[in-house]
Amino acid sequence: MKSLKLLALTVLMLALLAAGYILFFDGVELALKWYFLAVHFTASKVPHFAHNLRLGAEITIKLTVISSLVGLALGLVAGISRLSQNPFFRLPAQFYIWVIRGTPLLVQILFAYNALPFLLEPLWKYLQPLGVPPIQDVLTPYWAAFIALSVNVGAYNAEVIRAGIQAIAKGQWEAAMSLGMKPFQVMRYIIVPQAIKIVVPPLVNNVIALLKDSSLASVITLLELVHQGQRIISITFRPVEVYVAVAAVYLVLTTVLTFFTDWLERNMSKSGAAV
Amino acid sequence: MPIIEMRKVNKWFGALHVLKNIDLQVEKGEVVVVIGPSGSGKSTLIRTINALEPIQKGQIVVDGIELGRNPRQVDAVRKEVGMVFQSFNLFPHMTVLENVTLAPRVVRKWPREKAEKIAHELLERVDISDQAEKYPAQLSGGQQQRVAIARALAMQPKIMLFDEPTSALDPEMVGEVLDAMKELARSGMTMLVVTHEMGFAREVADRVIFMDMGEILEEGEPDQVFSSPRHERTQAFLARIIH
Repeated sequence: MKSLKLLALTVLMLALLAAGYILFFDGVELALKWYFLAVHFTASKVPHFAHNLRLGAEITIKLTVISSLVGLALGLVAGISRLSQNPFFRLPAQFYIWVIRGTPLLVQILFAYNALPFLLEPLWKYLQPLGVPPIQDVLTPYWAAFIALSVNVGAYNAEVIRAGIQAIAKGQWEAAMSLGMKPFQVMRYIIVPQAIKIVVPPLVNNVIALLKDSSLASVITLLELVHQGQRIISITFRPVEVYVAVAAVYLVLTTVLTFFTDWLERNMSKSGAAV
Repeated sequence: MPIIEMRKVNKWFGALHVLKNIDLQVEKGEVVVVIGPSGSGKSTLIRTINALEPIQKGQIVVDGIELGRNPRQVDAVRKEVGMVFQSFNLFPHMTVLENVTLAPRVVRKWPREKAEKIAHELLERVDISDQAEKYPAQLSGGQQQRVAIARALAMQPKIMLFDEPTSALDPEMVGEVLDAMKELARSGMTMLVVTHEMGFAREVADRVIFMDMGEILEEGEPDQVFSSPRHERTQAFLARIIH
């Protein structure tokens, strides 16, 4: 009964989310149209510009969403492994975090797009007979950016999750273990549910940073928000107006995300008592 | 056969020798109170019995299972040994009922109905049945500690360990926790209790153990230890705490 209700609620939420998504970007496109007309862009080209910027913004948000989901999974695995007593888990996690946090994201994006195909080519020799498309068709700018961004945010998430787990008092471990629970069960039932409340605000911070950092993918010709803006500038030679528009769209996106986090934080503090 | 048997148990924290050649046997149904000054190793002693503290030398056998390096044996022992901590350590994100039912459900694999039925009986037993849906932060210290006792009992342990269960409580709440422990002692539970509550020791302990600097210096019936302690350090300790 309870799970059925939950399912219905989830479906409803997803439908609302999808409707909200479409409405939101329609609104963005409409606002851009008015703006470009107001600053006297050639009227016949305005719908085209507004639509292209909207498509760029959609790519930006989609890339951010899937990269943060995969980055969250990577961060969980790496963050927990980082705390493991077992060096087989701990050392790879440490190495991953060290390399990713110590190198620029721009280099990681360029690497994923330009270098990764060469590294993966030997593997593709075996995969291609199975009907897998050639590596160049798989690692499009979009998927290269996705790999670089999720691996990047995963390392930052790992540090947040490690800190969150370490913030839970030792007594919680002891109480759970004294009841006969295994380490995995202690994590699942005791530590993670409490750590979530601590880690959600910094994790969402990472998502907001990721949204802005995804603009770096413009260097590998991904048609996200910034690159679409640059294309409009090369036609209109009006960098001031276009970059203002691009920045404004980012600002709207990050503001929406911030509202969402605030709501999430309020709701979480309502359910369950303080630690 | 004793239900707990410790033979020549030694433990070090770095260079600090915290348990020195401990020999201890506890019979089934026995209530043993461990007293001693702070830093004497009494908490560490009972924490070795469910392997919260590993030992470096010696042997511990609990209910016929030797506590070795094998995690399976550790798990097996922990299922049979409940523990109550000084700082309660309730799970703050769960209600009282969830605190009590969690381990039976995930460790003993009981269905929810069975776990909840037993949880309600235990909450009744520690006189806190009206608080089942509350969160720990909404309870007083004494109530939290009674929930902690119910939580440990829910696993139906054969042995209960108490690590200074009343030391973090306001004075007016000590009594309600001690009452719950006395009732448990009378029901025949094997108990090892680290405490400064001498009244409790006199009333329910079968045996009192005095520890100092990692050694068991004296043990005996409560009357004997309290009225005519043999060791001078026991005398000095008792003189300090009994006014």
